[in-house]
Amino acid sequence: MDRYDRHKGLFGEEAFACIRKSRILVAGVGGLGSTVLQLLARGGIGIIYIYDYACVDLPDLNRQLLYDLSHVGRPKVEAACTVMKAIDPDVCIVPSREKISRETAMPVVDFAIDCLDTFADRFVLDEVFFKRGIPLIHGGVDGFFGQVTTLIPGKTQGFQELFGNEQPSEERNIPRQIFPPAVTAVASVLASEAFKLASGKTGDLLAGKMLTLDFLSNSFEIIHLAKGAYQPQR
Amino acid sequence: MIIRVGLFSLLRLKFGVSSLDIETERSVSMKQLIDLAAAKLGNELKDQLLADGAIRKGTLLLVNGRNALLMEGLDTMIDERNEISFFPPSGGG
Repeated sequence: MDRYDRHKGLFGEEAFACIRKSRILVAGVGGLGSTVLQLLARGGIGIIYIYDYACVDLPDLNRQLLYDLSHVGRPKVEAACTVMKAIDPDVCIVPSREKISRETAMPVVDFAIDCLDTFADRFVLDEVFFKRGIPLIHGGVDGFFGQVTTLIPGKTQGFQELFGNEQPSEERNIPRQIFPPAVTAVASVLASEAFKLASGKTGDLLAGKMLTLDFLSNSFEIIHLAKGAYQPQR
Repeated sequence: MIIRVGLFSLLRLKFGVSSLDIETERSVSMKQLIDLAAAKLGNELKDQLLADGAIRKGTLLLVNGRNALLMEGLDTMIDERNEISFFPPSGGG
């Protein structure tokens, strides 16, 4: 028996080998990122780069499932590595406390996952990944709602093309109210997209589509998106 | 003609509807469409979608899955063939 016996058969040997070799960057290990990281690491992703400059706060514990009271005050990336190593000592996680900027020297990855919490930071992610030809899986959550879409350079719109390029004024310095189950559900969809993208040939991606999740009415809908206009610049 | 507008996320919570049918005799601009929708749902809809006479920052007004900001903004012309979605995206993580 190995630790992947209960799911690797879903993909087949060749596709699961792709998952084992994949290199993924998770931007943010807060609400979305802490669940995404667990699912990716437990599921056999090869190398996971995690970026987050924040420390664990007490109000994070309502939804950030990696952390407990002993982690409050500690950098999230350090706590995340400790927890994941306890689950799987062989897991390869490369932590960074650097805030991702346009000048950040990013590692070579197959794709990145947006688990950030402001549009301003997402615009940067769009520039350092999507506009350089690297796919980006986007997720966002607020209140009882969330959305996920997979952005593929040369095929779909990028983040700024889809969402515009101005930060909503409301998001500055106002702590959000977020329904914890919505966070883990959106994170699960992000991880699902990541496994499918990493495997190379499993199922359909949310590329050119945005899944909207509404936990008040239990309504999950897809908005079909127009094709992307610009081509990646490498 | 009837133009169907899909409302998502916080707009559903505020206005209690998931879509709206707007009846009009001819094609309308996005600004006119919002005015017609506000006549049904109340002026608070304009506060949600617009600020200082422009599309509110961070609010997605999609025309066939493309951000109206990248088209003609509030002057984008719309008819019954267009799929319209008003979507304030969730920004938290």
